[in-house]
Amino acid sequence: MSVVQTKDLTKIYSSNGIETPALKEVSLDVQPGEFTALAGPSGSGKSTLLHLIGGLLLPTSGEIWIEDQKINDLNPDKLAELRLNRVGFVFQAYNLIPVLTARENTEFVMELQGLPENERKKQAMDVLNTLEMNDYADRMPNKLSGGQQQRVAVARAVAAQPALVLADEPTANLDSKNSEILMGLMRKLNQDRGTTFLFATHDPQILERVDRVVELHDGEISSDIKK
Amino acid sequence: MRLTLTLAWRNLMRNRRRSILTLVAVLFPVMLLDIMWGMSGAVQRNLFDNTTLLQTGHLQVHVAGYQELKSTLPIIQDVRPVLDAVENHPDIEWFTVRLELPALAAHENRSRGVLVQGVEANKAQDLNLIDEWIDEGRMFAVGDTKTAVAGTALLDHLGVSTGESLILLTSHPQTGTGVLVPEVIGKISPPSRELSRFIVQVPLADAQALVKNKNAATNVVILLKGVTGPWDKAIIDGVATRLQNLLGDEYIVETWEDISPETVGLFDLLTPLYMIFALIFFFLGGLVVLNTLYLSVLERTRELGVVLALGSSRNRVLGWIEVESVVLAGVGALVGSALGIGLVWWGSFGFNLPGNFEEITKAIGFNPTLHLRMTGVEAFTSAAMMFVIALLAAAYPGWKASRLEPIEAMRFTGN
Ligand SMILES: Nc1ncnc2c1ncn2[C@@H]1O[C@H](COP(=O)(O)OP(=O)(O)OP(=O)(O)O)[C@@H](O)[C@H]1O
Ligand SMILES: [Mg+2]
Repeated sequence: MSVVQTKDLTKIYSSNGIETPALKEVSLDVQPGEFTALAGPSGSGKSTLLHLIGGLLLPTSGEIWIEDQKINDLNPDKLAELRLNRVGFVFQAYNLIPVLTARENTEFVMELQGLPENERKKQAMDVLNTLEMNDYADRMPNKLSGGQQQRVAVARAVAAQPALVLADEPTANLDSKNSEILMGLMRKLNQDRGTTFLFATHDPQILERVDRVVELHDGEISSDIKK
Repeated sequence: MRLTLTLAWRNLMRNRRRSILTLVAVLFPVMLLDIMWGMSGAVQRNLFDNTTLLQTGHLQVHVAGYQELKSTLPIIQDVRPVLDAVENHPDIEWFTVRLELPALAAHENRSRGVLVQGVEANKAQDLNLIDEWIDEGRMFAVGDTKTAVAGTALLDHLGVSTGESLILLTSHPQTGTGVLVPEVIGKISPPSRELSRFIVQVPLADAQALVKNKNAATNVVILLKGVTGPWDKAIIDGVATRLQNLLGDEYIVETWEDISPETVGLFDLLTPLYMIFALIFFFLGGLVVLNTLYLSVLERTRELGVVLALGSSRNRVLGWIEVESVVLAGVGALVGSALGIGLVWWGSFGFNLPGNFEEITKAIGFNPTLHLRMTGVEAFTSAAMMFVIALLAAAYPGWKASRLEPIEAMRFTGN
């Protein structure tokens, strides 16, 4: 079973009477354990596609499946539930909850899911260990570097063991050394736990390290290369 | 729940100054309402004391019938059976016999309709209250005869000074007329101005001589054990019923409320006034809470977007804002209650309003010493009201937060 499947997915933004076609009949299939990047120039529709797959946006037409669930006609509450239970998110920046420590942030999604405390703690420390963040578990986000914050964001995204992790330019605010480290760690999680990752990025460092690059141009897939 | 509380607490601590200001806006109405309850209790107690200790007693016994006498009480020809019933009665603290006769008071070429009240000198001293009313001279002592004290307003009208005598022509429908010429030994100003214009007190024996019956009385005035204010209505009503049963239907037992319904009416007038006053402060407190939460939601737009994107339900987000409000209001209500209860407790031992207020309260016939009083239910109401208002105030910001579109919210830059 595919983790993600889109069929003829089209998204047209309309604001103030202006219609912007962002995605045109995109069909994409992501298998479990894949480590895939969506590439393409600015404005090509990468973020739009990630948001649609993550149930943060509704498509204009076409279908989106997450595992066995067709999500395009779910109501907002059901979409929230889907995101909570099946999708992990890493955003570009500013995405930790500033009043929670690294560990609490990591436990956040599991807490919303209602996992018992000891299990949450164990899972969180496990992931933070893998991400070499165990020494910083009790720090507040504002006492962490950008790279460390992004690692906590990754920890939060994967700790609840979602079917899929969506990462929109996770390295955009990091220098190349930290990008390198973060990519290495995500790769490790992908290999150790079999977590499926889907990135949107222009970062050559990411593109180098992924197994598959799907290139978008003006809202259409222009190439799909598996290494 | 723990996460919810942690989030609420830490978010409130993020902008401490604003939270503290909000806290003050919350604690203030609670404390103020507590003080108002306390004042209301104090005023009720003073009104009650003025009415019951000096005039009506908690209960009065008089004889049945003679309804046609209207404002004049019928005469109990032999008061001894009543005294037997009230003496050593376990619920009765104090009682006194009065004989009230309508009369004409005259001095030189002036006169006025008055009420001659025959009172027991020893019993009046028990209460030790009349002393406070004395403007001039003294109250009569046990054994005094042919003496009187009277309202200052009345004596001034008649032009009588202490030491001079007054002519009293009494006339009761059941006994005919009588004449007494006592020496005025004291001028009094009872709390009620009205009373000061027509009250003349004489020793009970003198009054009984006027009706030529040494066992005559019009009423027996009773104070009960354990009664401190109008709130002890249940005790008063209970004893009234029992005493009525004991005495039989030859007599009528009336409570102070029956005798002086206008005092009760005054309470009903004052309480809503306090409430309106307090509600204004609660409303303002609620607005401050709303403003604080609204600002804090606005500042947190991005992270709320993240939280919603991660899959938190909208109700959950609404719940967080509500809990924040309740924590804020809860701490405020607790501190406000502590201060309010503390102040009322301190004031319950009795204190005098400062300076001018004391003069004013005295001038309107009011005991200047206030004993604040608040019930548990009242204290609870103050705090609970703030809670409810905080919940209401959080509804709009909470709703706003829960309706954010995650993607737009995460892009929010503050303008
Ligand atoms: N909310 C919106 N309203 C209208 N148009 C939008 C909106 N969001 C995106 N677009 C448009 O849709 C197209 C695709 O945008 P998208 O953000 O998906 O591109 P992207 O590939 O992620 O670009 P970047 O690399 O700059 O992040 C662009 O033309 C963009 O202007
Ligand atoms: Mg983008």
